[in-house]
Amino acid sequence: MREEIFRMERVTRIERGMVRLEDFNLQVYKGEIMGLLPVNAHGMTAFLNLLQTNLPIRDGYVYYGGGLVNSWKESGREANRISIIQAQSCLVEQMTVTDNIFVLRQGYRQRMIRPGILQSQLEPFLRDIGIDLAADCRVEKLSVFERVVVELLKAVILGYRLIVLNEISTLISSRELCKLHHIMRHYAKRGFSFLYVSPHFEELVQLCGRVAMFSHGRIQKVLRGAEMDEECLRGYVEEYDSMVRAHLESCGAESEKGAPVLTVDGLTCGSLNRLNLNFYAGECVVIQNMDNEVYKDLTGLLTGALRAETGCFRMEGNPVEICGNRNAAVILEQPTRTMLFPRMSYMDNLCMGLSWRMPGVWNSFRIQKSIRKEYGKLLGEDVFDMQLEELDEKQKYQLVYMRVLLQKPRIVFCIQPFKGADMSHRMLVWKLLEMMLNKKIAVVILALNLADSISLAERLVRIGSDGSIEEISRDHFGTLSGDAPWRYLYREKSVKMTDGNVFRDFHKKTAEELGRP
Amino acid sequence: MNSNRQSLWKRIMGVRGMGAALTAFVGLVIIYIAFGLINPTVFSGQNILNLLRSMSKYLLIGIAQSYVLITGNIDLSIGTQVGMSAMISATLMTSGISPAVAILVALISCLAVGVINGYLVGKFKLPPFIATLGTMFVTRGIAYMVNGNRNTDAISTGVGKEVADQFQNFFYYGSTLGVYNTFWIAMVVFVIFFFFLSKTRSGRHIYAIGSNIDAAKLSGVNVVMTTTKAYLVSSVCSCIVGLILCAQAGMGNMEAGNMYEMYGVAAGVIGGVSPLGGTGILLGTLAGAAVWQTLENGLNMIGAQVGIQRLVIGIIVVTAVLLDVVVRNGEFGKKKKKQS
Repeated sequence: MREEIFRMERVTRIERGMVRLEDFNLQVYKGEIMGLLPVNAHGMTAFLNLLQTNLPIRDGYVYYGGGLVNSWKESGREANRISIIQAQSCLVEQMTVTDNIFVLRQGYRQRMIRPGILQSQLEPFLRDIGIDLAADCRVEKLSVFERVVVELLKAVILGYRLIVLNEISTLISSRELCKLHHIMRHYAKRGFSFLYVSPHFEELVQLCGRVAMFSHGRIQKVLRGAEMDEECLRGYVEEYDSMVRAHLESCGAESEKGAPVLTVDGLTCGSLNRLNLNFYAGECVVIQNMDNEVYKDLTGLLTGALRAETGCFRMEGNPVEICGNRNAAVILEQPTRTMLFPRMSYMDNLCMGLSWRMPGVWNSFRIQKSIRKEYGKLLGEDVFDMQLEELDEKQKYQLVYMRVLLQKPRIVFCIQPFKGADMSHRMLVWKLLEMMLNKKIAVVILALNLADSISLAERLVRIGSDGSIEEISRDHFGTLSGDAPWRYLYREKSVKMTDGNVFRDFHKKTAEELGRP
Repeated sequence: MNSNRQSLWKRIMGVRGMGAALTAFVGLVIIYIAFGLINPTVFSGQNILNLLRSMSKYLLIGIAQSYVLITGNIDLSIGTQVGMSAMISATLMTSGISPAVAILVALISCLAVGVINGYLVGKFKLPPFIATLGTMFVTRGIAYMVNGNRNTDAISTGVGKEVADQFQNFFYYGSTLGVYNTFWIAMVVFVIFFFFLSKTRSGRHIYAIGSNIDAAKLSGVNVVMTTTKAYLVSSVCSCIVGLILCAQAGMGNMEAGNMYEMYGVAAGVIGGVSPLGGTGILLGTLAGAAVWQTLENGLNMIGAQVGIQRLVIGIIVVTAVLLDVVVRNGEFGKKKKKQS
C-alpha cells in the first residue's frame, strides 16, 4: 500500500464571504509527482495559501506527513513544511546560495558562519543532481533555472516532504524544464512528493503519474494511467478546442505577404547574435527562446531596458526603437498587473495609446463619447464608470488589448501572453490576439514554452542559446515534440491536407498510435 | 434631468483625488468657522485679504511640489530655488538692472535647475530624493554666492524708489479689484497649470508615469521629457514665490524659502495628492494650502504659540497621509468584496 503524504478531505474555505474551495479532496502519495491542471483558477491562490499555512477552514480536514494538521474544529495557523516554488522567489537575493539554504532556516544555531563548511555541505547535493553552481554566489546573480533549483534543494535539505511547483514552465526554457523534470524524478525516487501545477495538459502528461483537474475551487476529476490522453482533456476544453479548430480551418493557403512591417537587422545583444528576422502584416510569429538568457535579452530590447550592441529594428528601412514607438506595441507578461495605470480612470487607460493620433482626446467630450459608444458594445457600458480596481480580470485583459488596438500599431509584441491565465482567460487572450491579426496587425509572441501561442502562429522561430535560429512553418507544427500543446490539431490538419479527407477523426489516429482499440 | 445630474455628480466624484480635495475644502470651512467663533476678527475683511495673500505663496509652492509628487518623485530643491530666485533678482535690481531683466535671469536660473533635476531623475535614474538634495545644496550655495555671502541692500538703492515700488506693488503690496495682487498671480498660475495637468496630453503623461512608469514607457510616453516638464513647472512656481518674497522684503534674503519644499509637500498631501504618485488634483492643493494658512492664521489669532502651530500642522499632515493609505486599503477591500 502506498504511503500517503498529504491529504485534503472535504475542505471548504471561505475568504471574505466568498467560497474559494468547496468539498476539496486531494491526496498525494510518497514519491509521487502529481499534476494539477487549473481549468479554472478560482480558488487556486486559496489552495496554495492553505498548503503553506493552516488557515481556518469551514469544513474538512488536512493531513500532512501522517498527522492531522488542520480541521474545521481547529486551525493553528502554523506554517506547514511544504515548499512552493513559483515566479515569486522566497530566497533573499542579496545573500549567497549557502546562506539562503543553511543560515536562513529555523533551527540554525551556529553563531559563527563558516562559508567553507556550508559549501562543502552543499556540494554533495549539487553533485547528486548534476548541477554546476557556485555555492558562494549571490542569488541575484543566478539564472531563473538556478534559482528554482536552489529553492528545490533548500526544500530537500530542510526535509520538506511535499514540494509544489507552480507554473514553472513560464519561467524557464524547454531545455531547462527537461533538466528540472529529471531532478524531480530523481528526488521522487528518494521519496519526495511533488505537486506540479501547470495549465498545460501536455506538460503534465510527460511528467506526472496522476493529474487532478482543478475547477471552481474543486477537484473535478483525477486522471490516471490510460485516462490521461488528450481525448479525455477535450471534454474540459471543448469550447477552446473548437475555437482553435475553427481558426485553423479558416486559415487558407499562404497569400502574398508583401513588404515586411518590421525587420530585425543583424541584432546583437548579450546572447543574441546577429539576429535577422522579418515580420509581415497580419501574421502571427512565435519566438521560442530555448535559453532563458536569450529571452531576457529580447525582452530587454523590446522594453528599452537594453540597447543593441550592433544591428537594429527597421520599419520601412529606417532604424527604429520598439519601446515608445507609436507603430509598435509591447504587451508585457501578466498585463493585468503590469500594463495598467491603476490610479487613472478607465477612459484614461483606454485612450493612452490613442492620444498620439488624437491629441484632443483628453478634453474632447465628443471623442470620448464616440469611443464610449463604439467600444461600449464590446466592453460593456458600465466599465467606463468603474474604478480600475473594481474591474474583474477579464475586463482588465480587454482594457489592455483594446488600448493597443486603439493605438493601431503595425506590430504587437506579446511577452508570454498566456502566463498566469486560466482557461477562460486564455481563451479571451486568444480571441483578442486573433482580433489583432484580423486587423492585419503583425503579432509576435515571445515564449519560453509553446503553450497556446502555437495555436495562433503561422511561423515558429526557435532561438538557441548559441544564437542559432530554426524556423518552422505551420505546416510542420505537427512534427513538433510531444509536449507541444495543440500539436494534435496540426497533425490533424496535415492529415487533411495530404489525404484530402476533410473530417477524418483525429481520435482514431491517436488511438492507433497508442495501440488502443 | 435628475439622472443627468446624478451622472455629472458621479463623474465629478469619479475624478481621482476629488474626494480628498472636497474633504479638505469641508475641513477648511470647519476650521475657519471654528477659529471665527473663538475670535470674530478672523471673519474681518482685512484678515480675509491677508489670509488670501499669505495663502498664495503656499499655493504656488503646493503646485510646484504636487506636480512632482504626481510623477512619483519629490523636489527638495524648491525652497532653495525660492531663495536663489529672490537673491538673483534682488542682487540684479540693486545693481540697477531693470526688474524685467532681473525676473528673466531669475526665471532662467530656476528653469536650468528644473532641467537638471528632470534629467538626473528621468534620464540618469537617480533617486529623486538624492538628486534634488544635491541641487538643493547647490542652489542654496548659489543664493549665498550671488551677493558675496550676505543679504542684498534694498532694491530701491539700485533701480530707484519708483521702480522698486512698482515691482513690490506688482508682486505683493498692490491690489486689483480689492484683492492683493499676490493672490491674482497665484490664481493665474493655478488656472494655467490646472488646465495643463487636467486637460493636456502632457498632463495625462504626468499621471501615467506616476501610476505605472513601465507601462507609460511602453505606451510611448517620453519619461525623461515628462519628468523634466514636472520639474520645470516646479521651478517656475518656485521662481515666482522667490520674486514675491523679494517684493515683500524689498531686498534679497539668503535664507528665503527655507523649508518651503516641506510646506509644498504638506499643502499637496493635505489636499489629497498622493506621495506615492499618480493621484491628486490641483484643486486639492488649493484646499490644502488654504487649510494650512487658515490654521496658521487662526492659531495666531487665538494666541497659540509657534510650537503649538507646528504641532497641529504636523498632526494634520500625518492624518492626511494616513487617510490616503486607509482609503487605498479600503479600496482594495472593496474590490475583494465586489468580486465576492
